Amino acid sequence: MSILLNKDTTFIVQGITGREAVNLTKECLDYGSKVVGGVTPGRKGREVHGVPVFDTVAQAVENHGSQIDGSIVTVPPGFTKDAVIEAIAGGIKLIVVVTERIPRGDVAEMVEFADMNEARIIGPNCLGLIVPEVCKMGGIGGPAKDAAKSYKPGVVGVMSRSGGMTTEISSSLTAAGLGVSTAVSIGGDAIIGSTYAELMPYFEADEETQAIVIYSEPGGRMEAQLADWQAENNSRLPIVAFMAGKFMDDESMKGMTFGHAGTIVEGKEDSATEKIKRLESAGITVVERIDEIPDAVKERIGS
Amino acid sequence: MSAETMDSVFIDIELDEPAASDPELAKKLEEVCTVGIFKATENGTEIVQGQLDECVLCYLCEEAAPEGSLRIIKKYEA
Repeated sequence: MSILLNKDTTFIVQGITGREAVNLTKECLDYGSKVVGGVTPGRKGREVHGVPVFDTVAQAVENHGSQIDGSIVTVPPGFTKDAVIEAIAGGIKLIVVVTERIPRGDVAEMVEFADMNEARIIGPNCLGLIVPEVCKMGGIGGPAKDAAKSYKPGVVGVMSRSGGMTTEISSSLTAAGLGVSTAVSIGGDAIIGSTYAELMPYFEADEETQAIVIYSEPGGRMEAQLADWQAENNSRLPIVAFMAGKFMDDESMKGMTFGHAGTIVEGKEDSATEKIKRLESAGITVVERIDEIPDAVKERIGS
Repeated sequence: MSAETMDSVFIDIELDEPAASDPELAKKLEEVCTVGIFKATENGTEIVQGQLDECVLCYLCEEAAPEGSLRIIKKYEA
């Protein structure tokens, strides 16, 4: 079991002829993912690593002959909103938006459009998601041979605003023998399609998942939302949060920010110390070093 | 009260009287908004128009204000 993806999931890559998209297409194919088409306007008839390229999503769907499950959107920021809307209009329900620096209003609009059409956006500014040894959608984990080392099947669901930390955390869980059920790089922007709290019901419904690990850093409200969700839903899943950036609470570090756009905020609730308090009060275990994560998870699931 | 808007701004904020003139609410709004859209003044709440495009649609301001007195107006159509 897993969330959002499985061995039969089909997807396309919008903007497939771009340099990064060519690379991630190969990575996904090598990992066993079913990339059934690509879209770049004006490039119909080409192939990228054997994947046929079309001018529109509708052409890709028609060629596939049945509904396509997902799309990775890698087009430039100014065109991303239209690409996402085109994908959703084509019946696609899972959209991974890799592109960063998309105008905030465009993101708000496409997230709302997805909600209205019962589609789910992961990102923007994310590396996608992976089900170990089954399939991956996006550049998460890097080339297939590297992803195979970092991600082994297991019992922990991973969610992280940082793409790199998704793999770092998963690698530590794999090394400890716990493994990963599904890992999701949710994206580092201020407005994203899927927050921790919004993905929790999926993990809750996945029998294989026995615990959750999230990556947390100062800034943003997602941890507060997760704490509220946890308190309100009495989840069966213990959660461990890796809290980075506590040093920023030091007086001498005032004014410094992390790189993710979602962290560049100034609210009092956003400091690492406040977040730790809020998470712990909701029963979420907080650790401040990556190497503490596996033991914290083992303690929570009693293994 | 409505903030003046710019072309690139994707939301507007409407705050009705008497809430807009309430200095206590102004402090509260300034505190809850993580991106500095509200400024507390002795006359009440000032909406900082230059910060409107920083909105992350967290709705903390709507929750902080008396019910129905503050509205986030989306200037886009999904």
